[in-house]
Amino acid sequence: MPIAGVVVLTVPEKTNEILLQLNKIKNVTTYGVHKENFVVAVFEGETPNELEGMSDRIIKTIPGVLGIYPAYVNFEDIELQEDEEE
Amino acid sequence: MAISRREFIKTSAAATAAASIGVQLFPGKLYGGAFWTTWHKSVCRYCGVGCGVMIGEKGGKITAIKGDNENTVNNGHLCLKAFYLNKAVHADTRLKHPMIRKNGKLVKASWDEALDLVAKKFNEIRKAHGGNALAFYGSGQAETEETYMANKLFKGCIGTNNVEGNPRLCMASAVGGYLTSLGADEPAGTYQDIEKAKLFMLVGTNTAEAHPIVFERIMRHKNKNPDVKIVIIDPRKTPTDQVADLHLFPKPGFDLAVFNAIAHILVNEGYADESFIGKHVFIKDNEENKHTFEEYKKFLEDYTPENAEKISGVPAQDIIKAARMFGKAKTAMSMWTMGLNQRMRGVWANNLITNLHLITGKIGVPGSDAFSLTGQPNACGGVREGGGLCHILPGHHLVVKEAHRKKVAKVWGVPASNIQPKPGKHTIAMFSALNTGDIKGIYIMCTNPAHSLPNLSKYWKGLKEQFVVVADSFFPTMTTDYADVVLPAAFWTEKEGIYGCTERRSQYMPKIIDPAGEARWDAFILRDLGKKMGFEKEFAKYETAEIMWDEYRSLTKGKDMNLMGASYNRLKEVRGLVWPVPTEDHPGTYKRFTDGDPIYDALPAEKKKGRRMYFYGPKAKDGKATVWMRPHADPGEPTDAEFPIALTTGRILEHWHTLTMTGTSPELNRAVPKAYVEINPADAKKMGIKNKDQVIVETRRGELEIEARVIDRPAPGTVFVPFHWREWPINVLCSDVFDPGSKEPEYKVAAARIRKA
Amino acid sequence: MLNVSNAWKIIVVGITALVSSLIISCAAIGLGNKVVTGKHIDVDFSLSCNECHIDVTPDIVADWKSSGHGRMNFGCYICHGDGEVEFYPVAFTEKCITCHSNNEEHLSEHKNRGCFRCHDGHTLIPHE
Repeated sequence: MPIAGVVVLTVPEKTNEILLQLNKIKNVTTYGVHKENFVVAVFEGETPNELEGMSDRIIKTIPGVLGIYPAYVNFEDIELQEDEEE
Repeated sequence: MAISRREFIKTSAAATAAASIGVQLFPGKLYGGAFWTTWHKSVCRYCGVGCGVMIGEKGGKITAIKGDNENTVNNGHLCLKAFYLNKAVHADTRLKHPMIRKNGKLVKASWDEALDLVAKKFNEIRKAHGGNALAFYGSGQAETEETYMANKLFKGCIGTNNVEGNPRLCMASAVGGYLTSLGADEPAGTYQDIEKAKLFMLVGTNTAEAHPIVFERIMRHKNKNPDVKIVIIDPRKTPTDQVADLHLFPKPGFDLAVFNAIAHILVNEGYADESFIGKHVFIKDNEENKHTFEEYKKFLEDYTPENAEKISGVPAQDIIKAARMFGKAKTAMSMWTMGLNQRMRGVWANNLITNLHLITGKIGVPGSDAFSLTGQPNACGGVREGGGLCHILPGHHLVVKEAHRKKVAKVWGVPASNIQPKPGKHTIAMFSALNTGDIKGIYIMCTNPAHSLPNLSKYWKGLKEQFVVVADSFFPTMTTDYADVVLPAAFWTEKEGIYGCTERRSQYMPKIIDPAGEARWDAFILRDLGKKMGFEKEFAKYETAEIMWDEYRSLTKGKDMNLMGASYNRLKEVRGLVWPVPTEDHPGTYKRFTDGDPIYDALPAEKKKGRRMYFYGPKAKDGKATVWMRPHADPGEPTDAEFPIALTTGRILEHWHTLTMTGTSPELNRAVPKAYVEINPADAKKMGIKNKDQVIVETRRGELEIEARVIDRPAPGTVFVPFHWREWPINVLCSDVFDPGSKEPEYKVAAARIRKA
Repeated sequence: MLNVSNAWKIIVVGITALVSSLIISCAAIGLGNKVVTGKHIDVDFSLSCNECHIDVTPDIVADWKSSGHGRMNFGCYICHGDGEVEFYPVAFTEKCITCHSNNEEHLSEHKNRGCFRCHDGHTLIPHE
């Protein structure tokens, strides 16, 4: 189950609005606005394609999003590990 | 509070994303600092160059190594090996708990059990057979503080000078060379000379592979300054040859005549600086009788280039060329390492190279020096300066001098009578004594002699029969195979301490993470062993590394290697200090024996009158260095009809010593997965050997099946085998004949023959 | 034989977006800096890289030999991993910086776009 840490680059005047929009999306967690117009977020998905699709959709549907840049992707099977830990 | 694995990964992902725009999302030590790499200034664990490294730690693990930009030794550059050091720190082969041999097998034991056993056995041996039935064998990789503790325990408390270390196998001949030629150990110059030199004479050194960062500095300097010339004297072509202008190929062990022939040309063609010689130099023969310059000239008459050609196989014309290049160059730096040191006449070879500098005055000025490269990171600091050999005491003191024994004993808080007035057994004698049973117990620290001694299989007997304690960070090694007790030692990054490199530079290394498993710092293991052996009072004060360093430092006060200005506090801030550094505000010394050296500067004016150098070392008289009239001498085992090929051994770029560290990196193993014998194509053709054939290399001591690499590297008549792998232990074939002065064995020359397997 | 991992696909989204929005300060992003892992084809792993690649990819080996890395004999594994335990079909900047940490400033002058934006992967010569 992949998890990606991304930076969302926004048009400066729309940054706060975009943050609110992102918070509404299931499987997206945001970590605040940084350097004026960057939103740090984490995407979670069932498959790598889903993450890609999610990213694509956000760029197309939320006005003011200039780009989404993944910096970290984790593919480990977390469910299994959590079971083991328990 | 525990966080779930998923939360952890999400937070890591967010932190990494934020880091990519230069934002620290979770400042401070959130989740144990698991997200942020913190960088620590330290020193490389491998060779003697002393490169500064930055060590990256994240979540209690060493995750990355990079070069330290601010370190003047390497200016941020690193060689391959350092790059993968983090893998060694967390390798599966790390030894994590003590072990005791029971019914022939090493089994896990507690620290108390292990140390109690060692203390009991050592005390029994000492009581029954005296202190000289015990021995310590240490390492040029141990920290100065570690060697210092060993010295105190064995020389000061147990009362034996049987304290040695692998530097005996590595640079003892260079020590002998410096002491006899310049009157004091260690080079007069530093790496700063590299960028000022106009000529490099590289003798018996494959700098490109064994000291890559020094080579890199030479290469950069030459690329920028095409007038810089490089002469190599070595029986083997190596990657160092990429920058060579001239290469002389003497038969292994027959180069002494070449050095004298170079001196012959320098003297006869007017390159000698007679004014420098008159003021700064004595000329002496082997019996230490003084001679005039005219007599020296006469001595050199035997060494015409033509005669040297007959002895060494180097064309006379090349010798003349090399000599003229040396003579004409405004400044010259010679560098050498094992090719000169690991020889039956290693000290003489060292003297003859230094002669060239002394007769031309190419010393004591920027860009000119006789500069010995060392193989291990703390051979200079811990063992040469720290007194980790059988005849010396910490801080350039000698066991034979009563005043020195008294001074050291006072600092140690032991009766001066504890320290024996006679040198103990040197390395080869020590392992021979294990064979005969004269030594019955040995403590081996941070080294792997069952893999690295010459004529190796001869010395396995003693290791098998006597009580052997091995303290190491890695397991198994060939030496732990013979151990009765194995003690897990903290590794680099898991302990603090000082390393002193080739250029007299002492550098601080911090403790960054906790030791693996139950591993402990070697200095504390020795301290605690001392206490258990009954020296409770003597070892009570050593709570920290700094206490040990400060006590050691106090012994260097007023000595040529004055380290009084090199406190922990200062060393933690700077990128090392080059001694002599007498006070906390002294910047360290670039050139010894001349202007800017605090010891030279403090000399009375009349001593310095009319001269530019004063050799004030303990072995020099009247401030003069010595040009030695050393005759040519053949190696201990020249080739003959039965064994017609000269076998020589050495290091390669990707691996180091006995693979305990570089063997933990898959990348380095891939780079060179196995040993091989380099054979010159002309020889291979004669013997009907093709590349990658399996061949048998044989000497009088044994034979080894190994893959042939037919390559134009060794000169015809010479073969080369790297010594790193336990599966191909070439040292079994090496000769253990040693230099009568330095006691360093002649690894570099053995008579061999080869056949197809 | 490259097994381009899924991480790469995601990064490709980033690249597409980058190209379409010229105003972006990519200092932050470090494209070409990402780690791409893969699996080396099954070979005799008791050999060193060079023993096969000198025959299989002679041009690349020749390029490498001509480079600073080649002259210092810093082999394939330094950028690509050992091939068996770790394999990086595409070299990445993070690995460069470990040795060339004194070039971090130079890299930031070039907006952290990754070393291979300018330096050819094997000759290491800067190209236009």
